[in-house]
Amino acid sequence: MVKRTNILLLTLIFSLSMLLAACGSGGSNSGQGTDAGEAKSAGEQANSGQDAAGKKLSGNITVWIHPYVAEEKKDELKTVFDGAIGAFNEKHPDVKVKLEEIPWKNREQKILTALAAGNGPDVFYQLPDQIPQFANKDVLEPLTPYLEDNNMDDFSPGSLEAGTYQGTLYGLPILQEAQMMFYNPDIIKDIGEDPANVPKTWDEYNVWAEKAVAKGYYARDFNGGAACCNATLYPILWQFGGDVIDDSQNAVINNAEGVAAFQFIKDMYNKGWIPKDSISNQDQFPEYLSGKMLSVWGAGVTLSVLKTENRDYVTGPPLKGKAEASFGTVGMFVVPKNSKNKEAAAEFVKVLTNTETQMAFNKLANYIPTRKSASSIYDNDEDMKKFLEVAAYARPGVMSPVARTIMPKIQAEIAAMLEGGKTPQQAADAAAKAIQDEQSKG
Amino acid sequence: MITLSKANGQAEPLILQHKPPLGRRFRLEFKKNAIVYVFLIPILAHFLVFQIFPLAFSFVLTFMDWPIIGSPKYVGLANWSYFFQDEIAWKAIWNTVLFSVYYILPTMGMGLGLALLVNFGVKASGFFKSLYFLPVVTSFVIISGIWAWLFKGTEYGMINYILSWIGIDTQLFFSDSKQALPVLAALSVFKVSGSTMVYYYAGLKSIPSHLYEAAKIDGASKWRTFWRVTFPLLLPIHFYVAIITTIGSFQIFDSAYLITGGGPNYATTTLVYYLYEEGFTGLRLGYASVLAYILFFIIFAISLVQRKYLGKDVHY
Repeated sequence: MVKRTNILLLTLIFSLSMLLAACGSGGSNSGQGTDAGEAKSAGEQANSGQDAAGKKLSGNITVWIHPYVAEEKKDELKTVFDGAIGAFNEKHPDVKVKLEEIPWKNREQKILTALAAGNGPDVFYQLPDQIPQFANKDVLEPLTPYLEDNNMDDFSPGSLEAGTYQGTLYGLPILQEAQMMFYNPDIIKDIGEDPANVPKTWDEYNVWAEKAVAKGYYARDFNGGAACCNATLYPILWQFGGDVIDDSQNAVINNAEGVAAFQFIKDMYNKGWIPKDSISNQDQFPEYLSGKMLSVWGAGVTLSVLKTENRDYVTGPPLKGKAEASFGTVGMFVVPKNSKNKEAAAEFVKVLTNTETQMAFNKLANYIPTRKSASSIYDNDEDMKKFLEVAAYARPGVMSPVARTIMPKIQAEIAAMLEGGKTPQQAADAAAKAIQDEQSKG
Repeated sequence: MITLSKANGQAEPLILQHKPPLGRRFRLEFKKNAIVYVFLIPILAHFLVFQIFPLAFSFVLTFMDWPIIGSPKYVGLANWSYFFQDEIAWKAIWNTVLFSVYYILPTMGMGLGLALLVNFGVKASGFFKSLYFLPVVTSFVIISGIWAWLFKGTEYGMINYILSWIGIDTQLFFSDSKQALPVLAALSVFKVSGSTMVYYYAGLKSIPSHLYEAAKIDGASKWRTFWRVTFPLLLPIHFYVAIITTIGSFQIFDSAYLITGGGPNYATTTLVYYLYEEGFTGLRLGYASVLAYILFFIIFAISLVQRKYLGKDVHY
């Protein structure tokens, strides 16, 4: 008898605990738990607020940001964002903004799973090649209806292009990057050239490269193992007059200009202009820093390292072939379609990307502002001024829903070409076919 | 067949030859084991929610175009039929098989070798045990970083520098599609051997010493004793280690993700790495689930084969 009572008691305890657990997890989804209950009532408030006054916003919004700066500048970054929240709350005192910092690592999976589960943020950070992918799946809120009072002419056209898919704007840019050449002045002198007169075209550069390689240096970097292809193949391809996908979404990577770019990379490899491990190397900046390399293709982060390490450097413009081109990523804030408080979220995105926030943010994080009115922060900084010039024509990558998925495939073809398994023509053709295959997968 | 069951201290009637009706058997069974099931509830619930449900759901996913975000749609067998014409998937399977070849036997051999060394009664064997075990507890990210640095494919790489002493030319390692996979496998061998050593060490300790004494009396050499006594008696350990290293090798992901990104030219694209790329970069969770099921079938089939040939009971 006693045993049976024990069993019953245990069963009861377990059933109760299961019930409690079920309530806990179910609550956050269905809006019955305490936390979610708050969110729900907040959402309702927001709706009622909008209905009543049209402009009066309330409720909660959750904003996912990332560690844009090094650990030691974190507090300053917090001040920047707190300033933005303060400015936002002056206009919309009833909206509570909750900032959450998400590490860069695995950010995509976190965003994807949170959006899929319906408990994601109301505002998150997005990069150019994800905009078409996400917009194509219809998960981003078009921002155009919210932007009537937002001086849009102030933004650089390239940065807005990064947030646009099929004519609709989905992201407002806060930062921009651009890439250009950095040279080691000691090597320039060693090869008998003038650091004050760096190459502007590929033809001029090739002369320098020949001389540097003859002296036992590498000419430049080609990080074939990482970040393909935005910072490796694409800029060279564009500078040679080629492109990956044209405006009508046709793969054009294997046209004459494209093949010429592939051939040039192959020649650089064969002639030892770039290191032999360029196929898999993810970062050849150490080679440059240790004085073995004439030049690197770098961005703002390259500049900060050179400055902190107290190195002499000379900057040079992106090399011109048939065209003037550079890659520059753009950081944007977007609002997911399933946000419960879209209007407040869109308003906050506007504050996050206004002139004041951009000035404070970019000055701290060393990026290029996307608003012309914020560019005065670099009036006294010659290098950043050059970045600003390049940013004016830098491209944000390939604007297509397959932008991300084609990269490893193009990378594989480049590797096959450098290894000698394929000719530049075959590699470019295979890359074009891989792009078409990805497009047909939908 | 005789079933004798006693529950609650009361003797149940002896049941001979014929089985009782199902309902009665169920009641008897329940009476006997109810408390066990009660204790099992949390585990079973966890198993159901976190194992069975995802397993079943991922099977449903294989028939869907499921982009994680956005709206899913039913596509029938399209994902499965795509698999059969997907050259990269087959390449990934082949790479995974090759990886297993480079990885399983060396890991078992290294583990056994290290276990024999520390079992030999060397001084400070505890120190060596910890030393060999160190890679196991070190983060994969750190070890991968060190490995990439050691095996840098230019003349400035550490291993290339050492090779140059004996007149070997600069090797490309991760930049060579023939060398990349073996070098990755070597990293995994280095990382995992410590734990196989622990299993083998435990196995060695459990072999009764009188068998060695008997072998000694019979005049068996050390070599012969190892092959005739030690090695066969470690059969359960071989089986266990073979299964876990096989499963581990088919699930290899980290090193390809961290060091090579599946390259060069798909040379290190393993099945799980490809699955990850398809699922989380390509947002094709349906197709990724097909790949997951293929992986499951492969591991399942190999485990069955291993069970048949290695999974015998050993009596001594």
